[in-house]
Formats: sequence, C-alpha cells, structure tokens
Amino acid sequence: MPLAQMVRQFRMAMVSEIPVGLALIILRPGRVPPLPRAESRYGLLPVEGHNLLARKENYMPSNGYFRAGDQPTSRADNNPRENIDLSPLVGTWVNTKKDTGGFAKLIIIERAGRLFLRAYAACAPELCDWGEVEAFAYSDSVDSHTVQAMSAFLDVGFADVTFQGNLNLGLLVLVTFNHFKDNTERTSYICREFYHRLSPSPPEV
Amino acid sequence: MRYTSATDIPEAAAETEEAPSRVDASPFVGMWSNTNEEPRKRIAAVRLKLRDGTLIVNASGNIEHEVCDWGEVEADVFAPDIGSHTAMSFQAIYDFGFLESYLHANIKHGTLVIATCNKFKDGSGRSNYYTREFFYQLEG
Repeated sequence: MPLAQMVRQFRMAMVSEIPVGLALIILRPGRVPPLPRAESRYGLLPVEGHNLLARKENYMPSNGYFRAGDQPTSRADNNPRENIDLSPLVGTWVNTKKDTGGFAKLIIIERAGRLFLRAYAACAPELCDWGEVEAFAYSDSVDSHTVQAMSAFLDVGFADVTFQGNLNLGLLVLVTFNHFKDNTERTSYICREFYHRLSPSPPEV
Repeated sequence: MRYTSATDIPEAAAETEEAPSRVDASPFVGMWSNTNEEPRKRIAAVRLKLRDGTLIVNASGNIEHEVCDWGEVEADVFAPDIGSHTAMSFQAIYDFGFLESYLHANIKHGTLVIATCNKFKDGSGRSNYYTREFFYQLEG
C-alpha cells in the first residue's frame, strides 16, 4: 500500500474519535479551522473562549433571545402579522437649528410598507440631496407596533454614514455617525440634531 | 477634498494639525453597569477595552436573572467633530443569527448612554425594537 494511502486511512480512522476542529487539521494539514467569530461591520473578530456560540446553543433553541427584552410580554398583543405603524415618522422634518452645518431637511416616506429616507445636507446656494435610502423602523418592545425609532445607512463612497433617530416629544432626534474612508485627516465624528415635522406627508416623492 | 455637508469641511486649524490615524477611545475603557435594576433591562453590563488601539465591546444581556455573555466585537469610534481626536461615541454590531443588535453609544455627564436598534431575522413576527439605556462606570 502506498505510503500516502496509508497516511490517509490513518487520518480517516482517527477523525471519528477526535474533535471536529482537530480532524480538519489532520485531513487538511496546514489549514487551521477558523475560530467562531462574532460579526461586525468593521471586520470579524474571534470570540474569546467560544462563549458566544455556546451561549447561543444554551439560550435560543426555539424562539431565540439573548436578553429578557427579546421575549414577548403578552401573547395577546403579539400579532406576528401586524407591522409597526410608520405614520408618526412619515413626513418632512426640518432641523430646529436654522444655521445647521449638517442635515437641514429630511423627507421620510412609506412605500409598500417600507420606509425610505431622503436627507438634504446644508450646502450653498441650495441644499445637497443625498438621495433616497431605505430606512428601518423600531418599536419600543418586541410586542409593540408603535414606532419609536428609525435607522438608515448610506455609503457615499468616501464616507459611510449611519443614521439613527428616535422620536421624543414630537421631535425627531437624529444622530449621524460619519466614518471617512478616503484617507484624509478628517476624523470620524457624530452629529446630534433635532427636527420638527413640517407636514405629515411629504410634498412630493 | 470631497464633502457633502458643511460639517465635513475641516476648519483651517484642523487642516494643518498633524492628526493621528485614530480617535482616542480611552475615555470609554472600563466596566459599565446598567443603572436600571429591573430584571427586564436589555443590557446588564458592558466591558470596554482597547486592543491594539481598537475599542472592543463585550456586552452582557440578562435572561431570568442570569447574565448572558454576548462575546466581543470591534467598535468604531467617533469624535464630536472632524478636527477632534477624543472619542465621544462608538458604534458596534452584534449578529446573533436570529437578531442583529446595533449599538450606538456616547458618554454624557459621566454616564454611558447606549441606544440599540434590534432587527429580528427569524421571521418570528416580533417587532424590531429600540432601546436607550444608561450605564455607570464601576471602580477599577
């Protein structure tokens, strides 16, 4: 029997008695199986002690949750077919700060049950239209259908911008996370501004 | 230099300053505990540390009075403006498979404020939801 075949048979005999990760090393020498990883938009990072995957198996067998807030509190209120009511977000929102250097105006529309955001940045002589992006609505709990917040993401090439807004006393409080990708000296920064609703429905789409 | 809003334009002083490549995230480093003692709180505690200059987030949920370690993820840090190099905020993303949690945090008056946008991906019918919670820094 050729030596290579003997080695292969030995490896195959071994793998049924050893952990999967080690078996992969034996079967594919030189290739180490990857560690379990937690995903991040900014890259993948090994999870120390593999605790994340272990916890997943322990806590989410059927209706997964990682915290008490992920569990519905009332079965009667938990209508899986009912969507979050987007109407409190829909409309034209104007920055309360007249001389803002950030976003002067936001138009939020609902189309076929989905939310879309069009942001207008402060530019001269006219506002800069950032175009339309899909936005996502959030309620205040897993069994509520009252909108509490929204988020959106925009990649403008030289920068990634994440929008995160929440409704409070009639205001839309918008935080933008601005991450530059163009190797300039500009630092990634956040901006928090306040918007009041001009009209419940946008003038045009 | 490209920009899409007035705040993206560096001030003259900031342009001439020799800028480090990263925002200093050291103000976040430490162990933070939720100010709300209710068992239904969403995030029980957060440990923040630096690894090779990158801010690492290790959050813990709570389930029926047990702490559930979410594991570690990298965070992206943000300054208050483009000319500053001291972190004011960070964001991080946890992907649990059935759920994505987007953490947006900032420090205000010594309190760490964490807002989360939680998107379910499991078709369970649960509403995507938003939370805003407050954390105080533990000694040591």
